[in-house]
Parts: sequence; structure tokens; C-alpha cells
Amino acid sequence: MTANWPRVRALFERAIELPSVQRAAFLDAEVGADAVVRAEVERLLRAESGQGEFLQPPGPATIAADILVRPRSYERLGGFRIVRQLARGGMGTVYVAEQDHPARTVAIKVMHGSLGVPRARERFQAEVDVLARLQHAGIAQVLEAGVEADGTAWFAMELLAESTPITRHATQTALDAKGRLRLFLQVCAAVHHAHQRGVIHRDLKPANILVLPDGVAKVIDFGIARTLDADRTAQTLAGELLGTLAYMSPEQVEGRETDVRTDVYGLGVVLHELLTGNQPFALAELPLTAACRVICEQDPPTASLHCPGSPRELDWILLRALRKEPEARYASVAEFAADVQRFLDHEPIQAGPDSATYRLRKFVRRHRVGVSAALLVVGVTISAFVLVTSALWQTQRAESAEREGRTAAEASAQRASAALDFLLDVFSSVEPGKDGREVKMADALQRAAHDFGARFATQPAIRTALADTIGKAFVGLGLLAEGETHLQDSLAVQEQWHGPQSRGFVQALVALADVQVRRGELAAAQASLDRAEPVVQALGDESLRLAYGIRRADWLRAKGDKQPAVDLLRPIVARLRELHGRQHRDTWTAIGQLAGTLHELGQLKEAEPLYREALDAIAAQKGEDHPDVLTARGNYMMVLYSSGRRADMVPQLEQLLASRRRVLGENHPETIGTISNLGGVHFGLAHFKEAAHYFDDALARLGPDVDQQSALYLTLTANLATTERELGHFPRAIEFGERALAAYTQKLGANHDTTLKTKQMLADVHRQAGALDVSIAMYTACREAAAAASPVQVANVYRCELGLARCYAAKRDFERAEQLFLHLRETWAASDQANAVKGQLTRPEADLEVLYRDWGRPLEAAKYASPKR
Amino acid sequence: MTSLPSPVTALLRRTSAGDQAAASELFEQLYTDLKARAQRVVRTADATLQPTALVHEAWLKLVPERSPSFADRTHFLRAAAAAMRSVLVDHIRARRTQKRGGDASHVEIDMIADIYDKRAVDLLVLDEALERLAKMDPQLAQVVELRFFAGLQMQEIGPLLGVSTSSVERAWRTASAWLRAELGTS
Repeated sequence: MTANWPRVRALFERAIELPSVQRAAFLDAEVGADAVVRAEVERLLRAESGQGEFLQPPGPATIAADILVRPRSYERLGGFRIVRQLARGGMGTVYVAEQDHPARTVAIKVMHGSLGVPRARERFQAEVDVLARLQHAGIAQVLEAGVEADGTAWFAMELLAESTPITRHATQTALDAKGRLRLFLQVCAAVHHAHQRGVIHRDLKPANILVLPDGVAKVIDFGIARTLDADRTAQTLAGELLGTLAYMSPEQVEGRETDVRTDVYGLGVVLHELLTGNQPFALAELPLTAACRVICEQDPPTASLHCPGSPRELDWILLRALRKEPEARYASVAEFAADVQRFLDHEPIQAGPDSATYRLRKFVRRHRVGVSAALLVVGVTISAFVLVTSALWQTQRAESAEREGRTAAEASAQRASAALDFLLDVFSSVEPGKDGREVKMADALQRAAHDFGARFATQPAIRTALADTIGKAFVGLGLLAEGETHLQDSLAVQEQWHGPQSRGFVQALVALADVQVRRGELAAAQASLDRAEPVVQALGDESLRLAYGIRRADWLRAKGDKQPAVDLLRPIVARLRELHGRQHRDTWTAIGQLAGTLHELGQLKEAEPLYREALDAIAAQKGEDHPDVLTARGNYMMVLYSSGRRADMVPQLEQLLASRRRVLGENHPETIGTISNLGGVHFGLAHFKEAAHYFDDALARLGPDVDQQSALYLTLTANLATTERELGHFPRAIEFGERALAAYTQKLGANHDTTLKTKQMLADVHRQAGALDVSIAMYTACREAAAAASPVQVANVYRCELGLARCYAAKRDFERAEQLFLHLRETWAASDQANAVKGQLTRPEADLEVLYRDWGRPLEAAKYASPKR
Repeated sequence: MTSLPSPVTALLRRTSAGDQAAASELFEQLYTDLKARAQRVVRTADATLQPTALVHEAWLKLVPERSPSFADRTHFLRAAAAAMRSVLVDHIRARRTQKRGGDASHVEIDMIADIYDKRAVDLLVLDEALERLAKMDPQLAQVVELRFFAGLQMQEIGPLLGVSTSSVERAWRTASAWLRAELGTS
């Protein structure tokens, strides 16, 4: 009966990777006649699709809610006898209690947490006295309050027997939309009454708006949030946040001042839920901070989205109540209620649809706060796009005004604005703040890319601006291949419509060269740059020439000509500083580029202040969380690391990694780059296990379709080989070493310095694994290639000879080993101070000491013994 | 680990040998830290704290300070996951066989056991299924134990079992599919 488990597991794990429609065919092909195995695999495939909390370890919110909000039990509070528990909420537990004089049954709410200092108790009492004076048919009457010796605060209020929260009441009694609005107006009247007496509720939500069986709505817990305000302990804050986040206004979430418009917002959420059955934002699954961000930054979807056919006027009313800025909301609950009343009376309402300007302002505002860096990247490019189209619109208007008069001008203005609407639509369909948002962003971009060609086919100017925007947005998201495709498209349109001598065409070429360098397509990048060069010279535009120079240097650096890159960059940086100052994008790009190249050349002292300068300039301009700032910070940290300042590097990098994960997502190339750097730092600290873990993780995140020419893949495989060697895992070290070698050979050629260094490292592994003959053959070939290279690769020759000598020593061929070690000693001594050999390579003395000891020549061994040992 | 006698490791050992008093004591220590962390989470709304990290971090806090080595950590976390499982399962079992009492010292376990029970559909049934899974495929059962009971993340489990993160993810997916199928939750 039991199926062969290893087989089942293997088949399941392969099948699950396939799209579900292909799985049956896969099983047909793989399983053959074994019906038991097939049935078991299918059973697992069916089970896999389940969702939910099953086997998910509980998160902080769950545990916090349960741990922090545990009820205590009381028999009596003040003059009241507790009868039974009624409900437990975020802020307190409600009991039914009885009083003898006067004989009555009341509800008692016992607040979670406790009031510490006497002043807090006095204030609680004072606040409750104010509440007790609020008397309105729509407000549950507060009767009495007290604070126990242990600091527990409670208050007694009118017991609302058989009441239900307003939303449930509406569902249970199948109230129609009008009925719901009238019920809501009752609530508004009660809240307004309190506002007139200076009491703000601050915690309006269905659980606090109860409806009695006779249909009378009663607001409870008026101002309770306030009574405990200043001395709220973590406990009450916890309960409060977890319970009512969905109804909290942005100003509450951000801890800013609250006023009556805070209640306007809360009532807006309640009305939304009452009319659509949903809260405006789905926050339940989000971590606390993400949820807060959504409240403060994301626009609510319109109610009619939840309820097709719901009138537009209700959308407008709700949007007005739910505005992020208090000053954009209804100024009072009375105004809010009046608009609802007008709607019921079929009169024109005050609230209206958003104006186009308002939408654009909102969009820009949202990106400036930095909702999500992915959106921000796009936001920046969109602003650029807006500039382009509006300039375009101006020219077209001027031109067509001359040619055809006003009507045509209006038409072209409409077209430009249609293009803008199109983009805003695409991007506002992306919901920031959820996991995998960069994927969604990418989806939106794909959709946009798919649609716009057809939509703007006859409008080249808009089309190229869009292609350029979308291309750069893809690049910003780390999706380089897609980015290149669209930049190519933009280039083609530029060429076709403006010709190969135009400024637009050159700009497109330079943008394209940038992404080509990033993708490691150096030949293609060179072709783009070569095409651009004569036009750049002919146009005589200095800014353009400098931007072109930066890309040219970037390309030189990528292909290994680092000194020429530095020579090219220095005057560019100097000129850009003069021309634009350091706060200009081109300036800091050039400074960063120069710093990076100097870093690679080992000129750390000069690189460090430049990195710092670039970092400060970008951070000042874009804010700490911007992806470019994280990149600059990462670079700056790496130069500190290279300069030997390693203290605290691990926690700092972990912090950077956390920011990148948050801002860029889990699998963004730069996130992976940081993981890889963490591995490197651990390696430098001789934490090889941790290093291997990070390298492995980074490599796994690159995925199965990784571009094997990418710098990150190369670095990771080579680093893994070295790390696994340090751990003594030779088979794995060889596996990764061979992968690295193959990739380097393909990318850089068999005799490139880095390729040979990798080969020599692989020979080291074989030697350590005991395969001396394999190792000797590899060292010999490698040494020859390094010696034949022009210029001679001194370091590689040295390392290969050292490896060879060690092989001979291990084979007990002492004479040959001795000869080579002595030769190496001379090489080392003869090399001058600045020479790479002196700085980076191991001196052979220790080897000589071991050699002579093994050889049975202790006197000579003693000559090489380090005095320290 | 025997060379590093410490109260927590001793408690772990006694717990895995079925010592109920040790289990309670262990839980008290865990709970104290959990509570402090929960408060911090709520106070700072700390986004960098991953959603699964709470229980796990609390466990890590208990790792004997003077055992920084990887082998000790591995041993400890495995033992911790196993202990967490047996404490919770025993507690639920005891609670179902006797009448539910108001024993104050068990309030903490009660709460955490409820959370886990809810997420496992039925903790006792899960426990039995895990036994069967362990016989068939010990690695899968181990992954579930470390992830669910000790709250470890995939990237942390890999090094403990000496496999890559992606193998852990595959194993987790397979294990949870199998358990779903066994528990009839899909």
C-alpha cells in the first residue's frame, strides 16, 4: 500500500515547480504504471495549494496580543459586584455588574494595564467626570469610574442589553443602503453633540457603535483613548493598536495632533464598512509598520470598486472623509452628515471628484515620502516624463496654434494629458507595501509596456518618452533585460523621428550604454558609445558631453581598463562640480564612479572621501531610504572594510541588508549583493560557516536562470569555492571552482588575470584534497599562461610557483621544492614596495621552515623559524 | 554540550526525558523573555523583526552564553525545538484528559499551546503525523520541528541541517503538503 516515498517526494518536488496545467502530462511521462505512486503525488499536489495559518509559527502581533492583554479577575469594583464577563477588547474587558444602591445592572469596563502615578489617576477621574456630563440619546451614559489600588482603571456605564455592533446589526436586519445611511446619520448626531462639548472620541469603530434591538444607535467609550493618554503603558498601547488600527487616522498613526477631523476620518471608515462590507484597506495580514504606512500613504479604493453600481456621489463623500490631510476632509462631522443628508435628499453634494492637479500632486507627494522605493524609482522617472510631455505640449500648442488655431491645440493638450493619465493609472494599480511588490511593479510595467505601443502608435514623441520612462523604471527595479528592450525601442523611435544627429537620440544611446555595461554586454556598450561619440562632438553641448564621458569611463572600468577610466573621470568630476555643484545627479554619479574605480585600483585613501561625498550628496537629495542611497552606503562600507576597518562591520551590513530587503525586496540584485558582501565580511573574519551560508543564500536567490556572465554569479561561485576549501569540503569547493572557472573563461578569456587566478585557486583545492598530480598540471599550465601574458601577471606566476613548490614538498621531492621556495624568496625580496606581490602574497619562509623540518634538516629549519613562533 | 553545564541545557535534557517540572520551569524562562520582546515589538513597531522571529529569538536568548560554537548552537536549537514540541503536546494532552483547571503556573503554557494548537488544526494529531513522517523521512520532520516549534527561518535551518536554503524550502513545502494531506486541511 505504502508508495515508494523517495520517489514520491522527488516527483512531487519536480511537479510542483511546473504550472498546474502541465502537471498531469508530467506525471503521465514520469510515473508509468505505478498507480500507487501517482495517487500519492496527486494527493500531495492537491494538499499543497492550501493557504492560511497552518503550521505558520506565530508572529509578534499574535503573541503580543495574547501575552499582553491577559485579563485579571475581580469580584468587586467600587460599589459594583461583578457578575460575568461580557466581552474582551483591545483596551479593556467588559463585565456585567450589579449595584445595590441604586439597584441596577450596569456594564463595567476594566482597562488593560494600570495607571502608575497619582497624577495619572487624578486626570483619569477628571476626564471621566467630563464624560459623565455627556448626555445624549446616542451616547451610552457613563455612570461612575474608579482606580483600584493596583492601578487598574475602570468605569461603569449604561448596560446596552442585546446590542450589536452597527455593521452586524445592518447585516442581520438586512438594512438597505438608505437605511444604513440614516442609521449612520444618528451616529453623526451623537458624535457632533460630543464635539460641541469639547469631547473627541478618537476610537470610532463598529465595536464602539452599538445598536439596540429598537434600532437606536449608541456610541460607547467616548474619549476613553484620551483618559489614559499620557501614561499609557505598553500594554494598553498594544491592545489599542492591534484592535483599532484599521480605524485610525493618519495623524493618529503618526502621533500628530488630533481634532474633530480625526473623528470625521473614523466615521468615514465606519461608513465605508457599513456600505461595502469591507474596511477601506486590507491590513489584517500586514506587519504593523507596513499597515501604518498604508494608512498614511495609500489612497483608499473607491467604494464602488467593492460594490459595483454604488453611486459615484458616495465614492466622493467617502474619499473626502478619508483624506490623508485633515484639512482636506470635511471640517466637521456636521458637514459630513450634511453631505450624506443631501445625497439622501437627491441634492447636489459638496464633495466632488479629484481634480487632475490634485491627483498629480498626490502622486508626487506619495513618492516623496518614500512609500516604496520601487514606486519611487518609477515616480522619479514619471516626473521626468511629465516634464517631457508638458514641454512637448507647450511646443505643440504653439505650433498648432499658428497652423490650425485653437481646436487643434486643445486636442494635442488632451493627448498629452491622456498619456499622463495612462501612466498614472498603470502605476496606481500597484499596491505598495505588500510582499513581492517589486514583482507587482514589474507586472504593471509589463502591462504598460504592452499597451502603450498600440495606444500611442501615431504619437512618436509620447511613445519615446514612455518607452524611455518604462525602460528606466525597469532598470531601477533591477530588471535589466526588460529595461534594455524598452530603451532600444525608445532609441529606434528617436532615430526614426528625430534622426541620428539629434540630442534625443544621443541621450537614448547613453542610457542604453549604461544598462548594457550593467548587464556586462561590453561589446554592445562599446558599439552604442561609438555611435554616440561623433554626434556628441558635433552637438557641442557640454552637459551631454560630460554625461557621455561618465558612461565611457564606466565601460572602461568594466572591461578592466581602470587607470584610463580614472584619467577620464578626474576632469569630468572637476568640471561637473564647477558647472552643477555636487547636488546634481551627474556630479554625484561621476564622483561615485571615480571612487569605485579608485577602490578597485586599491587607492583606498583617495576613494574613501569621494564615496563619503557622493553618499552625503545623494542622501541629502533623496532621503535615507532611497535605493541609490543604500547603494552608496554599501559602497562606502566596502571601502571602509577594505581599509581594514572591520569592527562593527557585520551589524552595520546586517542593518543595510534589512533596509534593502524592506526597500528593494528579497531578490533584488542589490539585496543579493549585500548578502554576498556579508558573506565576504564573515570570510574576512574567518567565520567560514557563516560565510558559506550567506554565499549559498545569495547564489540560491539568483535563481536557476541566472546570467552566468553576471559579476555577482562569478564572484559568488569563486567565493564559495574558496570558502568551502577553508571548511575542508573539497568536493564542493571543486564543484564551485569549476563553475567559476568555466564562467570566467567564457566571459574574460582563458588567459585573463582573474581567470588564471581562479584556475590557480582550483589547483590549490586539488592540492589540499590530495590530488597532487592534477594540481601540478594545473599550476604548470596556469603559470605558463600568466608568464606569457602581457604585461606579465606577476602575482599569478608567484602564486602558481608557490603552489607547485608545496606540491613537490608534499610529494617529498624536497630538492625541487627547495629550489622553488628559494627562488620565490628572491622574487619577493626583489619586488619593490608598491608591487602587488609584496602587499598580497604569502612569503615563503614558513614553508621553508616546514620543508627543512620534514626533510630532517632542523638547523636550516631554525634559520627560517619566525622569531614570534 | 555536556562540557557546558548550565541550567537551561540541564532543563532541556530533563524536559526531553519527560520531566514535567523542568518543562514548566523552562517555559517560564522562555515566557519572561517572550513577554519582554512582545512589548518591545509593540512599542517600537519594529519592522526589522521578522514575523517569525519572536519565539525563535526568545529561544536564542536561552542559548548558554559560553557556547558560541556552531555545533553547540545546532544541538541547542534542535533540542529546543523538540522540547517546545513535547511541552506543548503534553500540555494539550493533559488538558484534554483532565478537567481544565485554573492552575496559575500553567497559564503561560496554556496560552502558547492554544496559539500552536490553532495553527496545527490539532496539535495532537499533528504530533502523531510528525512521528509517522519522521519514520519515513527524518529530514522533513526535522524541518517542520525547527520551523514551526522553534520559529526558525529557512535560511537558519539550512546550516543546522547542512543543506542549502533552497533545499530547506523544498523540504518545507513537501512536508507541509504531506501534513495537510494527512490532517485533511486542504
